[in-house]
Amino acid sequence: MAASSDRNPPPFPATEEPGAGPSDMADGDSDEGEDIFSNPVAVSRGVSQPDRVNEEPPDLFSEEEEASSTPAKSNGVHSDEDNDLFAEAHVELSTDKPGSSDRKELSSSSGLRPASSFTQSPAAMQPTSLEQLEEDEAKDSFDVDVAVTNPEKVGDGMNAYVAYKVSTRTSLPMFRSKAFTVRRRYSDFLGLYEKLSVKQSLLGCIIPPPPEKSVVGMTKVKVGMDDPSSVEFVERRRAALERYLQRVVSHPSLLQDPDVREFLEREELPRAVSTQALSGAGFLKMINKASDAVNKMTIKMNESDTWFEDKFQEVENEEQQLRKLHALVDSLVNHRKELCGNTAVFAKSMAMLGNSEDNTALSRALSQLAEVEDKMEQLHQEQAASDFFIFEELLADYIRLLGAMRGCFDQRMRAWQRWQEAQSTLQKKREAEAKLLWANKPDKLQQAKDEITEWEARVTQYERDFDRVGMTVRKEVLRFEKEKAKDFKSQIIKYLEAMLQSQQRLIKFWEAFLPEAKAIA
Amino acid sequence: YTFKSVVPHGNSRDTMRSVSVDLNHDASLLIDIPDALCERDKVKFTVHTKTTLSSFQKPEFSVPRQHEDFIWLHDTLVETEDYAGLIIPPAPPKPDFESPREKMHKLGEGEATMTKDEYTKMKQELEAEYLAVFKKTVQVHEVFLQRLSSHPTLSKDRNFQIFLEYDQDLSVRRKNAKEMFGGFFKNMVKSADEVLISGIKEVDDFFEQEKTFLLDYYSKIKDSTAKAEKMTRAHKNIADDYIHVSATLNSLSADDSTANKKHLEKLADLFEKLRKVEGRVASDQELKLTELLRYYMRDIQAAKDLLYRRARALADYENSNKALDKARLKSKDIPQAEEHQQHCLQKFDKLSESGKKELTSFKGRRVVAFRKNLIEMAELEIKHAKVSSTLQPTCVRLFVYS
Repeated sequence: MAASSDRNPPPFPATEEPGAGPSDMADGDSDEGEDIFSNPVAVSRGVSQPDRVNEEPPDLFSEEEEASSTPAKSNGVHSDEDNDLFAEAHVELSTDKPGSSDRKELSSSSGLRPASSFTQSPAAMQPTSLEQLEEDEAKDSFDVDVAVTNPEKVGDGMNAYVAYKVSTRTSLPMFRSKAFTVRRRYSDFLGLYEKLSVKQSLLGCIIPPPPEKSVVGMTKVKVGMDDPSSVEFVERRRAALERYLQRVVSHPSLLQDPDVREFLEREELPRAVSTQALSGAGFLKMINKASDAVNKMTIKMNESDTWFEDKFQEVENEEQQLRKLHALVDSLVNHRKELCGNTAVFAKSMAMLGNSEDNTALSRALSQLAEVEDKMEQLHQEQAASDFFIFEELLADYIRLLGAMRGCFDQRMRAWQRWQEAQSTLQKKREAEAKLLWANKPDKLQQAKDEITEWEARVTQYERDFDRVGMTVRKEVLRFEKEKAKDFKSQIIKYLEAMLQSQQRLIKFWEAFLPEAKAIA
Repeated sequence: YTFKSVVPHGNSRDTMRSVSVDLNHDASLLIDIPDALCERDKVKFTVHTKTTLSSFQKPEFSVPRQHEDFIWLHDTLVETEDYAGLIIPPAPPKPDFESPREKMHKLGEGEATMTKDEYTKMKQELEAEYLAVFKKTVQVHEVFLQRLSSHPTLSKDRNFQIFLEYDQDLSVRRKNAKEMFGGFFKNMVKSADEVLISGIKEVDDFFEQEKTFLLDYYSKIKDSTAKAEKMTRAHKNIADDYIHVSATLNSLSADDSTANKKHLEKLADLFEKLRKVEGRVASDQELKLTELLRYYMRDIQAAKDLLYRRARALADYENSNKALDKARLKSKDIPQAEEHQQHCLQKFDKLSESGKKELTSFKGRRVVAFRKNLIEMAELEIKHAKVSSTLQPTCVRLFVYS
């Protein structure tokens, strides 16, 4: 019986991986020229790869600390002169090392844990309090970093697709080497998700979902990858895929899954074909269908532990609010893009007016004003990118993740249902046995007794499963909440740093203009 | 929605009086609009005069005036032949509360969908917008009067004096004026201008250059005004978005029981502070840039009107020459024709002389005003950005040490 292995204490308790922010790992190949990104499209460079350092860092830890203590580099578009302005901000901001504080040296034996014993470990340890769970999580850390980079269009026409470079750096012995790279396409990521969902969600894990399919987006890309909206689409997807993978590898039990290892390591991956259905809408439908099934249950669960009920309600409310916020931030992004356009148009108009002006000094000042407004347009563009890639995408990620979390609550309900159904079947079998006893049919009686034994075992099994799933869900939720708080914190700091930089540059532009205005005579 | 407000008297209004400089410094005639009342979108201005001139009955007095009174004054000046050679200061535009009124209406409809806090903040923003429109209209009416009082000729106008002094309702006079002129002169000038401008052979280099310059400049500045307006509107939209984002972050934070709660709270607070800054950036840009462009667009139109009147006078003179030639040919009515021709020539010369003076001083005025406003706008942009750039590090520090 599987249940017996529950009682073996695992080598280490449940863990978490800190630093789940989107860009913990610098891309060592940043000096590789990529045609798509050769235009300094502020949309992509400025924001999504903030920690790009140009030389290979000696090891992961020092590189990360370097990145977080130099906010000047945190936005890809900066000029050297900005460093002076940053002197003050620098001092204040460098005390924060988002994500690095929890990183610890990895113990050598952590790689040996098989997945199954891990997920059963909470039951084995029988942690009595949530505080103990939290404490245990804080002790462990993983040393795996993944990056998704270098999107490249492969093929032509409608069969074309985008291949991404997936680079892994690790010190875990279970991988074939310390650093390796493979090429993967979007359907591969979806395939991984499907495999994981089938296996792991049964146990109550929160499986991070990948970004949605987009027929419109991809069709444009198939036609040509050079126009701004295609560039934005590819960059958005690349960043989302990277975050997706980072979340997967930072999940202790998912990391142990052989499918994950295969995804990261194997040269050629068999093409995932069943991914056709999994668009954004498809994913939501799947989740909601599960919820509906649960709602239609005839036997209503009597929740002895209100924690689950309360938490589920919280999750639902939060998801709703996040959706609202996401829509608002989207509106903000659009208005900022509008401001961009309006500013550019105004700048041109001002330049024309300057040309028309017959007073020399005023004409010059108006032309300078036009130039300042041009620079403002650039700033607004970068801010819009920051609004979108940092803030809006953060919200989108968590809307998806909360959906996944609802999914794992449903898994627990299903486990409960299975247990209840087994109990009712057992009851029926017992009644049947009683009837047989009364009717005095000894040959059928033995069969009935055997069936009862079988179902008794099942009931025990399912009860244990239900408890175990419950424990896992609790742990997962806790871990998720911690990760979320860290994630939000680091993303918000990044967002603010980008905004600050923008303001600093704005000041410089107008300060340069002021003497021009004063020179008018 | 009724909005009642009184514009406060004081130094804060000096920053408003920016589109035209060097006005209202001649102590012999000082005019200002110290307060105004807005009731149901109808504005009543209090026009206050302080004077040492004996042509007025009292040294200091105030009268209530409506927008229509200003228009009456402007129109009578335009239709006065003696002033044909002057740039008549542009009439102040009608007070327009349409935009904030419409937004207030929409806000009322959407009240149920937002939190109380959100609604209050949106309402505050709208009230500020109302106030801004109000202040602008007061300013532009005031500047109109001050342009008149600082003009050597126009300040002596009899109707101007009546406007300032007459303590009864002007509406009777307004009706009479309409009957007398019927806006004929003005309409005629406007409709004929394109033909005149293109058809006339210019004799004077100065006016030839001015014509070319003003026509070109007018279309450019009109374009810039429209584009500046769009820019300001986008800023306002962003400020509004910040309100909603802040409110939703607060809701999320309130319901959050995890470590994320304080993160959301701090971010909500930041957005609230940012929207105030963004709002001020928008309104300062409106005042210093958009209003400046708008005002000079109208002023250039007034200068163009002067050119049209001169072109008309030139056309009249040329026609009178032709009439004289005809008279000489027919040997009939020669003295009348000669007299008419002389009259036309004198008129034309007078217009040209005064026109040249007016246009030259107009140039100077324009340059000075642009200088002042551009400097002020740059200074305000820097000031707001400095405020804004203290918000982010403060917020980040809160995060780090939380």
